Amino acid sequence: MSVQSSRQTSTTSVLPSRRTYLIELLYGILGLMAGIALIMAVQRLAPALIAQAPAIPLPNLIQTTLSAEARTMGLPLAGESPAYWYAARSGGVIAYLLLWMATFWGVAMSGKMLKGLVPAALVYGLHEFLPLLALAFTAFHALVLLGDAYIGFSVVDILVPFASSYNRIWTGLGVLTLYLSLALVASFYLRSRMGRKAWRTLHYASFLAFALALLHGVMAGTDASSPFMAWLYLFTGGTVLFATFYRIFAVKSTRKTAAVAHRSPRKTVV
Amino acid sequence: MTKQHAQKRKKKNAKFNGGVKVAIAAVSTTALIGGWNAIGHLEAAQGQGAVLDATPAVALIAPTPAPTSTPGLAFTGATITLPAIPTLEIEPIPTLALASGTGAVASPGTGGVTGVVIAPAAVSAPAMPALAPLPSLPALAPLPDLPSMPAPPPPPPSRSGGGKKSSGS
Repeated sequence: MSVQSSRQTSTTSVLPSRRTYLIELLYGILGLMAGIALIMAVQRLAPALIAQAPAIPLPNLIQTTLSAEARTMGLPLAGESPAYWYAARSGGVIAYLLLWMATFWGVAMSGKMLKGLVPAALVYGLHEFLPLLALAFTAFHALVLLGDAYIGFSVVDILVPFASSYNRIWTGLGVLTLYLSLALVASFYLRSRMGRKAWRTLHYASFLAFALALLHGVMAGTDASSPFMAWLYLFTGGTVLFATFYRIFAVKSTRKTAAVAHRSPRKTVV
Repeated sequence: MTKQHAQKRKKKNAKFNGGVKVAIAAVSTTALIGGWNAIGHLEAAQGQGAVLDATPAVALIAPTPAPTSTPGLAFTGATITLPAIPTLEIEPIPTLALASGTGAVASPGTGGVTGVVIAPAAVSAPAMPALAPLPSLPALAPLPDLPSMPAPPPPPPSRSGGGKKSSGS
């Protein structure tokens, strides 16, 4: 009885309460709004601020290097600047990597691959935080594309799946990934209201979200043709596949062991 | 015992706090900026490559023309007898002999650099026929006297009658 109660205590202490979820959601929304406001402010004020900024007495080499790097990145943010396109590409890759980490982490966690290796708090904490961060970077990836003048994405292109004329199908899959990620993140915070079965079903959609993101990156990504990105996609896809198979077989073997234990309880006790 | 266990768990839970989240977010943001910079460099390198590809290759060595066979002059193996060309006999072109006393002298305005300025030499001209004496013209007639000038007109009478200037209107 005491062991059972301690287990319950440990589970409840590991899983955050509903209030914590709500506070985290609030922080996430506030962070996203702050990020959007910051981007808009930088876009509007940066040229004026740069023009009025006093010359910082930096060593010549640092100043030259910084200005050269800024120019390489397409800064300052002007109308025809390629900075939006570069930032969107980079944001997309980081969002994909975060989504991969979240998916792999979740599968590894359920397959008990991390048992004993990583503290339980870190396992659960990362499992909740990584999708949220992935969603934030996905939103950044989509929002920054609005500033790019070359393709000229509109709000409709970004929010409505398959509405964009640029790589219609593969861009549409990216939009679907955004919505799926949003639903998955929301499911963390609405878990108590959803019911276990619905939550579990929705949670399986994380595989679909990862697969869609992978397809979006490979087919619509500008950098997909580079060897580095090709290897990255291969590695991330392969690891998730491996973890999934591992989990399936781990669950099967656990069930078998449990069945054997159920048939001959004496032997297992001894 | 249970309380101690729960406390241990709580301590473990405290490990994943805001600091870890901030660290992960900071690493992600740094990766974003790093990726942005890397993409910029990649694009710049590709742009340079494209410019180099677009530059037409300059032919430093002219291509060797392929030997072409002229129709009608195909070598048949028969001996060709060329007509005998008479030797050209042309008299040598007369050249002016360098007069004595001429030489290379420094030309003025060249800063002392030796120029090829030939100093005038005494030319011995052949004897020319004497010119005939000029004819003398007859004396000119004296010029006629000029007519006498007419008397100057009288000065105009004063309107105001005094030394005052009229104000005018």
